[in-house]
Amino acid sequence: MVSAAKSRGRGRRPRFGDAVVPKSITFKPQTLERLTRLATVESNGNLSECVNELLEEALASREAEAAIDSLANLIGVEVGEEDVQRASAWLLRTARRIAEKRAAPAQA
Amino acid sequence: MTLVLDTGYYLLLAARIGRSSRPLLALAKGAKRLGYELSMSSMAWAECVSHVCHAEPGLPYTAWEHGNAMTFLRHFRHIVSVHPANGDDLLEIAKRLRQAFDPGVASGRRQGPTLADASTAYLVQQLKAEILVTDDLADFRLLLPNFDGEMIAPKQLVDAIG
Repeated sequence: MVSAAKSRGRGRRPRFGDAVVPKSITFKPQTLERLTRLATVESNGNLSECVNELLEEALASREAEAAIDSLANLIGVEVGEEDVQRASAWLLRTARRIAEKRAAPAQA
Repeated sequence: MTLVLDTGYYLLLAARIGRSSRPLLALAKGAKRLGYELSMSSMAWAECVSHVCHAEPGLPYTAWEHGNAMTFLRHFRHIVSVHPANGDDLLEIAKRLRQAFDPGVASGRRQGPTLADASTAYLVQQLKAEILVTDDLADFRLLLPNFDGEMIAPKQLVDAIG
């Protein structure tokens, strides 16, 4: 395990309103390596910002799934894996069709 | 990929008909898992909120606040990203609505697109959305004549997925 701050020798300076947790977070070396690579590409090398963005996305996605399950409960239906797979397949087919249509004028 | 939802998606879901609700919720879940964005204009969102505001008349406030309609709306809020329109956006939206639809000339028509429809159309263009889910297909063809994505009515969606 590697401490992110130790490996980089510095951390993100907290801004006004930020909450600083006085506790180090330990990453698996390969996770830290992937995070650092991603931060370089997407967050100007700012690891804290990168981790914040990833966590926000993951939390929003979890909250959305929980909200969908709550709606299903309220309605009294069960959304099974088969339903989700059928919907995902429709989405992927539609996305492909639109991408082909949008690429067509560029090719012409 | 971005899906823009119009009020019709919410209304069909809120009607709580099991046959429709299951595929509509499955679509939302599938989209989230694929990392697709479900978006709504603030004016379409306001229509959903207004619907709930007028739901269950006569119910005491606390019962309404904790009732099914409001709870449903609160959960729904976690599913969609609501995109606000500022003052300048609204002026642009009004101009685009008027360009697409002259209420005087089209007086024979049932209604025609509303400002809320135009704000949804504006959002579709801003986000370069791929899919628009709406009941008002004819109105949106007027507002988005060059749309290169796909428009689909919520009921068609139910048939396609269900």
